[in-house]
Amino acid sequence: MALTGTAEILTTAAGEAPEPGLGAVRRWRPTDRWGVGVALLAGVILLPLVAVLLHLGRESVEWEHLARTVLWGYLKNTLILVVAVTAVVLVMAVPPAWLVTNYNFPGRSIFSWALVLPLSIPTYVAAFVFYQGPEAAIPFFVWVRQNIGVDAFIAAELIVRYGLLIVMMAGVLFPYVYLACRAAFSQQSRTVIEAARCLGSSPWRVFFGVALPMARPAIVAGTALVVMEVVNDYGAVHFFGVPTLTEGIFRTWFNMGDQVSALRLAGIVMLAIAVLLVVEQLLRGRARYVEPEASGVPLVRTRLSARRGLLAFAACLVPLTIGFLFPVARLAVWAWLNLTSDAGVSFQAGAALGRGLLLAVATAGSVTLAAALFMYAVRLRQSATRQVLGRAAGLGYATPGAVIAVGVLVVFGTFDRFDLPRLPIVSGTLFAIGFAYMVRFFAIPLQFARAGMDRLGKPIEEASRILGRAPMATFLRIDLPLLRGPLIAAGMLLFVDILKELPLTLILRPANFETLATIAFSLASEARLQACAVPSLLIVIAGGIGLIVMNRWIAVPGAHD
Amino acid sequence: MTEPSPLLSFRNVTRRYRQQNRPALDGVDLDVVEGELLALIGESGSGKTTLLRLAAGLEEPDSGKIFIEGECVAGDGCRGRMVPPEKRRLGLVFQDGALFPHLNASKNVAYGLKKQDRKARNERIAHCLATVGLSGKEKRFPHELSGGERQRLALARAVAPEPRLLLLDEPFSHLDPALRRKLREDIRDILKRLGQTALMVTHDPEDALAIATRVAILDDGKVMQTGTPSDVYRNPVDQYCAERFGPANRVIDEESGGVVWRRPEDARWIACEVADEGTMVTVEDIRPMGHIYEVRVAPDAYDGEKWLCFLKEAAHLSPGERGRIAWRGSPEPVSWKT
Repeated sequence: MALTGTAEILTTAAGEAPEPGLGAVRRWRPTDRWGVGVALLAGVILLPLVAVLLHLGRESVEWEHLARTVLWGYLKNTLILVVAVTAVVLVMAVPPAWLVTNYNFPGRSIFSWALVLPLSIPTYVAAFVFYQGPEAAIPFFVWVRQNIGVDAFIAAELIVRYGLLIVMMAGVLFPYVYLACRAAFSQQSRTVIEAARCLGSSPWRVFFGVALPMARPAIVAGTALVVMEVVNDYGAVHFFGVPTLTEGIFRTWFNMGDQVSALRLAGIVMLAIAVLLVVEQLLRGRARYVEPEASGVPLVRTRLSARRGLLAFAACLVPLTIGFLFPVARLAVWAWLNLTSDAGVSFQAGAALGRGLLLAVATAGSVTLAAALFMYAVRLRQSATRQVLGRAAGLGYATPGAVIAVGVLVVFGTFDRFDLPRLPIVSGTLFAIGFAYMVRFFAIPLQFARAGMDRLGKPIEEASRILGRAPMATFLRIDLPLLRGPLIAAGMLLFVDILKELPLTLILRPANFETLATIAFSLASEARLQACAVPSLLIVIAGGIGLIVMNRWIAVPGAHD
Repeated sequence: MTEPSPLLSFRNVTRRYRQQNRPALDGVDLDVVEGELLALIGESGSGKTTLLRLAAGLEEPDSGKIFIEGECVAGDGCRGRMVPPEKRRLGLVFQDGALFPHLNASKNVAYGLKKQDRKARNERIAHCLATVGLSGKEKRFPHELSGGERQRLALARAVAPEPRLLLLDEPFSHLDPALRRKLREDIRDILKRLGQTALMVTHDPEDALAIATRVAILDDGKVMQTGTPSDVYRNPVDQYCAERFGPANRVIDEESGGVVWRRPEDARWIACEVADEGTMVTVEDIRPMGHIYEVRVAPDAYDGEKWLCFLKEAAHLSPGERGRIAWRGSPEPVSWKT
């Protein structure tokens, strides 16, 4: 359970041992088409990642210089952001998750799903919405400089800039932890909580002493996702002038033209993420946190008094406002102003919306199907190799988009060198970008499929086989219809992620191919904030719809037994 | 009558799981012959479910061979090529039914039927549902059926493609006792009517004794004893086999000097101390159970061992009383098979 996809968080609260597959076969056979398929697909997906790692050992003159000057700054900024954003995210996410699962207060049912919505706002969009924050503080800076001194001014400016960036990133990323916690809290055995209450614990002690420790794996898994998103981010850190490792990759490759050093930076990022995943795995330890059997006791929410209800309302409203309501309101005003003044951008955005939706829907659909079939093949036979390949195929999710883009460029560049005419497999095509999305996001549908198949159980699968249906027929007639819910949820999440994706899209898009994300980013780079509100708002609306659909289907898992 | 050829044969089959040091099945030899209903009985972990799964092709043996109608389907004899479950033409009724939740009753039954014209197919579905008493519930989904109905639907689904052999994996274990008894009788009648050869795994001795024509007892991955239900009940070969079917008393046979196992209800009380049969005992405890008395006695020559006896008339006995216990011999084996 090394890789924690969003999906794992949404679908399961804690890791469980994979069930042995159908028919334990130890010998590899050339006739085993399913095994070959698994190996091929996993190999193709891992190719770009391997390509990056292979470059770690290459000689580079500039690397020395880079290491001496900017590397430490990149590392420091990345580390500061990761730690601080994580801390703020926990405060924003855990209390609302606990409140909406266990208490009744005004707005509870709306908050329950609305708190997912900040996921529809890309970090770079949030960044330029909040961008004017430091500007608004200029009178304060001037006052500090005149009355305290230059050093204090510099410190104050840094604190405001970093602080705003941290709160803003946490505001749009906290739903990862919120979703994980909500799932964990609602799956927690009622009887354990009730036992704690009967033993005389106050609600606070139940939360800190029982519920929170039991939800720890979910919190850690959700936090791991937040960390990956922070490391992956390119737009927000760019606007706020806080260069991280990802920004370093862009600068080194595209501004300095030093591919080898850029690949090395990418390698460092991958190693750092790998360390994070290992730590997460160690933190999980051997403890089991989730009762194997959920008790049938229905969930009864406690009604809160008016004053406490108000506090709970505020605990939910504040993060939602930072992560969604404020940015959306701001974007809406800007977009309206722009529509009335400059319609050109809107036409451009409209065309990009069509293209972007088509690309996102097509990619999300085919990648989800491919992942479901892949997971089915992985589970078909109990073999260590297949399990490892099944996990490895999701590694792209732990790798920043810029790194994957670089890896894809290297791989496709190699293809290009063979000068194969008319082959669609060349860099700078939609195929390349679709492939890169698959590498990056394969873990999401994979994890949903895994959890769904776990829940479906082996006997149904075996019943179909014994009734004379071969594996493929079983997949089409049994697994696919029964996994409709989780797969639709996975596809929606994938759709939102692809729509939002910036760094990978920036690097790999074909010439003159603009998505909403790239238009928004380039307009924002030109400081045309009102204009860039139009494509941004379109991303948020499309993504928000996707998330609401996803939230519905998460509640209806696999089999309806 | 000539000896029928075995439908399913296990030859020296061993299967081990990585996590356990003892094999789940250890050199098992077993035959299922045409027309019989063989019950596999044993404690959980004795390997009975593994045996069933090997027969179905859901797992593969580590060594040994498995034959179905003389064809090697798994193991050393088939050059590493296992016949997959979908090509074995077997039926399997799962513990919890494993019905397809997205298909209604008739579509569940139809699932295993292939390449027939629509009319024959529909007739077959109707016939199977009627056989298990589910006519009129064709359009119900599994979750709209009761526990017993679900299990009968699972049976209909399994027999619809006319499998060579029907495998049943603890088919009654999820049902309450009253329903269990009823369903057991129903399934016995259905299988008998269809002339269906079947292999059933169970840990409930009543299941085995009530519906099987032959019983195999499994312990620690080995077949300990096979025989007719009455045979394994009356003449268990060891304590494990004896205790599968309720309490049994260790008795040393006076003629041969060997150990035999006697059932409590076969005990006979002889009030006379000097009779020329039976063993001298002291009564320790008497409990009236309604239709019988549970009497615990300490036989003289058995060094602290106790016997449990079910006696019809024991109102007159009291603890400390001396007397003799004799055992009725085993009756002739009975079978419902024709």
